[in-house]
Amino acid sequence: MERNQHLYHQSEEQLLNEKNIVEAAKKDLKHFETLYNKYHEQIFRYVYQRIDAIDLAHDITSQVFLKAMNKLHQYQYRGVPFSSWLYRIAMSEVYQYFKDKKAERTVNFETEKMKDLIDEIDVNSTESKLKSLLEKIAELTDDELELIELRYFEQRPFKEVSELLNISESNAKVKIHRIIKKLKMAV
Amino acid sequence: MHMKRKYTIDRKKLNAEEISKGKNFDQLMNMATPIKLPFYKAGWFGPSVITAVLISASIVTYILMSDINNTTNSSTYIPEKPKKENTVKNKLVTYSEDTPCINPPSESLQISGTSYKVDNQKGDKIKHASGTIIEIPKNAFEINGKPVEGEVEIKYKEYKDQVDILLSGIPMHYDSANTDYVLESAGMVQINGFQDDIPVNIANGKTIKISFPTEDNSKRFNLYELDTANNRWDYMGKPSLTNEKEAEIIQPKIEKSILNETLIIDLNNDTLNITTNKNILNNYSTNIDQIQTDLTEVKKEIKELENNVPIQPKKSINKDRQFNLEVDPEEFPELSEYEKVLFEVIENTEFNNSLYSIEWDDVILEEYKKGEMYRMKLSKDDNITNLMVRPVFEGENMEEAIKKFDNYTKKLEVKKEEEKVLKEKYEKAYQKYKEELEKFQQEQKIREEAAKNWKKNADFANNLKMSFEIERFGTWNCDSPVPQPKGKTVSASFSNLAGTSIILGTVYLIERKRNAIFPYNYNQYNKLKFNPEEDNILVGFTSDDQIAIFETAKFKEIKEKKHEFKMELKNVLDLSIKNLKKMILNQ
Repeated sequence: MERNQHLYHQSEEQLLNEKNIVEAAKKDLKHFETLYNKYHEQIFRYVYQRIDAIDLAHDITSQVFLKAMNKLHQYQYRGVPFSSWLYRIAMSEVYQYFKDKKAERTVNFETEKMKDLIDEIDVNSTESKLKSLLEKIAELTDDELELIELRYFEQRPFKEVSELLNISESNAKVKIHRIIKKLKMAV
Repeated sequence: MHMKRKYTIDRKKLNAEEISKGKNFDQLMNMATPIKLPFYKAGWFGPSVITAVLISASIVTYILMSDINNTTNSSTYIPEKPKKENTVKNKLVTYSEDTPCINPPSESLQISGTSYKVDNQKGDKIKHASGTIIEIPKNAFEINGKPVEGEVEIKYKEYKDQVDILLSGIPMHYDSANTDYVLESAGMVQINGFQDDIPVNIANGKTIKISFPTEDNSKRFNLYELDTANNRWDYMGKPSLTNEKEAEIIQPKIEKSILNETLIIDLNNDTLNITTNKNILNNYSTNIDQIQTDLTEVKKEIKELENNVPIQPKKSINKDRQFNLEVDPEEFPELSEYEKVLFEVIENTEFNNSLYSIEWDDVILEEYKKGEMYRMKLSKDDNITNLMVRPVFEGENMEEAIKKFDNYTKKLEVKKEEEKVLKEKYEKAYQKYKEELEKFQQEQKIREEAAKNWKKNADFANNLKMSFEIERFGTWNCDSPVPQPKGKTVSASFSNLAGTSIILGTVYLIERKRNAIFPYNYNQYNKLKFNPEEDNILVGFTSDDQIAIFETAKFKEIKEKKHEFKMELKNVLDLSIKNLKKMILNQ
């Protein structure tokens, strides 16, 4: 997952432009293509981070966009990028898939992107410590893992994390802080 | 416990090209079956279009499925099959309050509607008792594409507060991005039209404007139409906030205020704040008072000076006819200024030097002509001698007396000048005070006018209206989606006050401060949520038309995760809607 803050942090003008595109798409779905092109890669990467199968990730990504197109009339602009809504659909789709298929949920560690987390926990990046950290992460609950994944593995800003999880930004910060504390103590 | 996980470390990164392989917008377009919004605005929509157009399921081929490579995962994911939804719905209204999704909880307590007759050829502007205005243009109605001739009956209902919403039985949940919200209402209406009990439609190109009073001037509310067939609310844009009395507002004007003050009219807080700063006027008044005090003081001093006019010093003429007497300054204030005053017997009075050699028992000085002549009465035994004398000075004493007399004269002149100046100042100040008082009184009039205008403004605020236009009859709602209450979740069971279990069906949590109701059906009793900080009340209905109420105060007693809600039961037949509002909303 690439850092995608540039897409999340949009100027008011960009947001309004996007809102206009959404409104146009509500009237004529062909305008949705702009949004599809803009966010396809982001949504795919989100799905793929959690599902270790490229084609399956493609399918779920398609399903996310299909749902978005079908439910577009329900979408309401809330002053945040359209991607926020797409991510929530994606999150719902991915978890529904795990539930329906009783499938394994993939947790993909990229050591390069673990640096922030390691810095936060303040552990020496010795192999044993890193292994211990991974073991502790494996013990996190699903909700906790999702938070760590969004914040550290996918390097999303707190605001976006809060939007995706439908919690307040301060709540996201507090929750993540508690998880870090928990990991710190465990490691 | 958490779901099964698979951990990978530094998995192969995909590049943008690999990712874009899965992109196929055209395919999605073929599969998509959106509800176009607002579909009645679409050009193809006409009154004759009542047949559902189905998106052919045949084009929904699961090409994606064929791409799934099962080698990477043992499970197979089948994308959700698109639902065969009608892109166009038959929206012909059949006026029935028993539409599938509308289930009033009580048969006895129903919100009553109002019926209005409108001549289709004339249109009308209906003023509903609540203040709502329904504007119907000419030729607004049609049946089967043909204009309606004659009168149309408009049946209208309003649901303004939580009790209205509760009794309406209209579902208030709203799904957005798979998150369930409840609609907080700013006002909900049901409007339908009939001619001879046959439903009429709003003619193509015509709209009915509904404007209802609101106190909430926030723009958070959206407009929704109830899709009764699918039991959901369709987003229909935004209502507008208007105020038709805006043109009538007269802002108070004070071009140049002597008080240099501003009239503040705060419509939002519904307050009128006019600072009647009388201090400035008081300043003028205080100034006058000060001048008056000074003037009185000066006058007093002048009076004192004039009452104590010293004699004009006169030089001694004949040293051999003089007496040196000590006089009481209080008895002879005109002499009090001076020292060493001599009393010289006047020329035409007979005087004998032998009088000096007599030791007189008493000497009395009496005023004869103040400052000029005195009678001196010398007495010894029975002999009394009267002499007419005048006060005189000699040598240095004369010079000193002249100085003192001059000082006195100057002092009097100064005081008189002061008096003159103060009198002028007083006149001017008094004139100014009168002018300012007059201006102040004029401004008071303007203030009174402002107060009247404020009243109009306040009325204006009260006349704030939320408006929207409809192209179709049905149930319309100005709402804002709000999430479920947060704070406490309990597994609920219900009993009467005696502790006997009762069956309630759906129970409704009401937060008095939010115009929303949160329903919990039987399956959701185990996750009944409420915010302990809020003013909550829980309401349910029994099958034998009793209302069950769990009072606000009792929410504080809920400590455990499982709670038996002991409800107070009342027979609905004994209640009016007014009673119910009093009980539930404290209205």
